[in-house]
Amino acid sequence: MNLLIMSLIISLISFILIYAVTPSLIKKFGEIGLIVPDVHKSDADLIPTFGGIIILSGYALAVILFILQPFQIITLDISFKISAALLTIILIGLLGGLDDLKPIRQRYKFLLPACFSFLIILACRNQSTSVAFPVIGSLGFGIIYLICFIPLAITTASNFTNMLAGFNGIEAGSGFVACAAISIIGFILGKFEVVILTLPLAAALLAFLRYNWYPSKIFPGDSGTMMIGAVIASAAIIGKIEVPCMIVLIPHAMDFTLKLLNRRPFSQRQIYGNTAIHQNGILYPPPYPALLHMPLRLTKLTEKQLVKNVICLEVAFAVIAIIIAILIY
Amino acid sequence: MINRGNYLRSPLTVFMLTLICSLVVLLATFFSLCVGWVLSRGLYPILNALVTTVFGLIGFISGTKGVWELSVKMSKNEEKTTE
Repeated sequence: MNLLIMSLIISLISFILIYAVTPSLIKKFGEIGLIVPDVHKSDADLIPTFGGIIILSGYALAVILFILQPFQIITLDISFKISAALLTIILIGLLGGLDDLKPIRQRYKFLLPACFSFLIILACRNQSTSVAFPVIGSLGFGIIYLICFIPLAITTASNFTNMLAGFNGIEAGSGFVACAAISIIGFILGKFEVVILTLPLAAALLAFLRYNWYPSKIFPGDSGTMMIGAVIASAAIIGKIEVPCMIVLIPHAMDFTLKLLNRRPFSQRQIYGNTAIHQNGILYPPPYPALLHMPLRLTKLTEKQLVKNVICLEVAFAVIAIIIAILIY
Repeated sequence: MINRGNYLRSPLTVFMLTLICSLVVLLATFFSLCVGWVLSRGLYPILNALVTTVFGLIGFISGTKGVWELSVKMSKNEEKTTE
């Protein structure tokens, strides 16, 4: 119970901090020119970006407060794992921040998060290397889990959440749902290291959503989107809840796969341009495959309706993930 | 001019379709995982795990591609209906 109270306190700190600090930073980022056009509006206003750094700072501060708390309510091993995960998350968030300032090549966004995951590999070297699947049971991956599965999970999850983005509130909204669901799974299964990693981020994203919701006053940028994936993957590995976390990320994975399977992966936006906006804010998708283009091809949707659609889809998968977690663990 | 969106007008209907498509992908992945697991059950445990994962990935990718093609077909049919 102490752990639950402690994780609620740090989440509250993370929420209050981000809720209070964001308005002044929106102004500051605007002044120093960290702005990008809001491409899905007919007048394409310039909106401050780089909000992910605010989320990362609030989140990191909350988790560090937990690690440094004097009550010794967690073992040294769990403390080490959380610290390793936090360091990886910070590095990935900073990589995203660098991408916000000066665009970096997609290949580096794949390679570097995998390299940063060595800290998690180090922290988890003594834990089980099997993954529990529904019906099938546990599959032992042996050394492959450490040298392939962990780097691949960290890098793919960071890029999954980075891809399903670009509309007001979609990143913070879907990230909030995913992190809240994983926190619930961690709580139900009694894996408090998972709750400590994901609940402060859920709180941070909820506070940020207040400013990121349609019409956005700030965007999270790659620093925000990449760190969401990094947190989910770290929680999955440290808490050994890989399959429920994979299920939570299915909408993101579908979007990523559709973009990957194209003739020119991940560069379709440069070729075809952004989603077009017609009268009354109706969106018309460009002709390349993406998850968000599926509903847009079938009906007339505004940006707000599309984002609500995706968040509802995320909620559905979150519920499935919670049910499966209860069934298999 | 093509008047899109008259046939499947409701956003709720479209949400349900997207959800069903995503669930189909989830089921395809799970089915492929099971097939991979059954086929490689006698092998060395790591090989069994790897073959199962590869089958799961194949199921996920083909499921995703399949539902995208279905949505393209549906939107084309809709355009024809409303043209």
